[in-house]
Amino acid sequence: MIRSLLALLLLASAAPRATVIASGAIQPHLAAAEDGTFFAVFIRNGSIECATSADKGKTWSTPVVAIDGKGKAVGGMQRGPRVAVDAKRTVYVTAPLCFDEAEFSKKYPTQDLYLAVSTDEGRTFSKPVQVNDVPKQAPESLHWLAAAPNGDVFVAWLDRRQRGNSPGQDLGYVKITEQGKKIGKNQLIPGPLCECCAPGLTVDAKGNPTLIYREGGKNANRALMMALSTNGGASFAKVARINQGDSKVDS
Amino acid sequence: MDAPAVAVSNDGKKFAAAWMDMRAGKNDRDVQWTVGAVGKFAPEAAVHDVGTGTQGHPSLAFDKDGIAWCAWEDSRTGPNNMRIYAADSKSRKNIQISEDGEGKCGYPCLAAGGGVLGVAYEAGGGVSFRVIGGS
Repeated sequence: MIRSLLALLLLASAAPRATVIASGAIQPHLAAAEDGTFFAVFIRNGSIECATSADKGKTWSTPVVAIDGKGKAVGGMQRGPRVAVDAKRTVYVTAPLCFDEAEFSKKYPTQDLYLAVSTDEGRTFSKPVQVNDVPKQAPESLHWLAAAPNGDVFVAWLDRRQRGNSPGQDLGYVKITEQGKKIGKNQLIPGPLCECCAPGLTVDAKGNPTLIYREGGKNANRALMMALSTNGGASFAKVARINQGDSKVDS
Repeated sequence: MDAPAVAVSNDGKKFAAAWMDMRAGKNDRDVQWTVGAVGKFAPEAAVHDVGTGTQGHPSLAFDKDGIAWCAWEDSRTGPNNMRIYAADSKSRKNIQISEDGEGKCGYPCLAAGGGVLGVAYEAGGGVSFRVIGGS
């Protein structure tokens, strides 16, 4: 009996309970530095906030505002902020936001993608800069972010700049260097992509990004596609279908 | 709809991919995942080990040992009981991450660093974090 109780106690101590990072916050995203410093971003009070854990997730800092959304950041269905960190613990935060007051007369204000950078481990952030270089062409606000150890940053999103009045979405992406100071020219991978699925993105230790996305268009079995770069994101050479079974996800 | 997820191991040799699909039926959202190298992925498998509920919004990360982990939303105990679950690609054993007392949960996001694998997620009262492995 005592042994069983001891075993239960050991099990309980081996599995740390959940920690509340921020009450009333939604749509989190998480990144970890090589030393186990965690950075979490989320929407709260209509802004993008960031909290930091310097003890491998045991305790968390009081959140700070990473991007002031003027009380109007809303998120919804994976439209929240993203966070990434490089080997120097420079923290990169992106989010879809709208700073054009005229847009708020619409039911769904068109948002653009913004980046803010912290060089003091999440205590303060730079003024946000726009990532998509053609405004109001990323209306779905679905995006992803990743950072390589050397500070090369990649952002991917659904983009409509080449669609005009035609339906559909292409995949926009950009490489950002110099600790967020230099935003490269936006590039596109032609779609159509699923109109309501954010792309996925990761980057390896050498700085080569990999994208994953769901096909769009009229298709009874929208496939999952992976695009691989072997030249630091200058281009994506290989695009391959990942799923072998039918997805049964249609248009 | 749910974003597909991708992760790469620290040595750059292994990739993991996960996504929601409806191969089991229109109202039966499942998470499928596969681990391998680009062009050499194993056939995908359902991440969950039960036949009930819906699964979605997968997130991926590799731990310090190079093992892929997936976290996802799961309503296996009832449509109003959305919880966060996780599994590793080695054992495939499903682990409940969020606690029942946290209420409806969603949008898990895994990250690994310093030998620790953690997950942040939206819970009933805000954003929560839990260490899954390492110390």
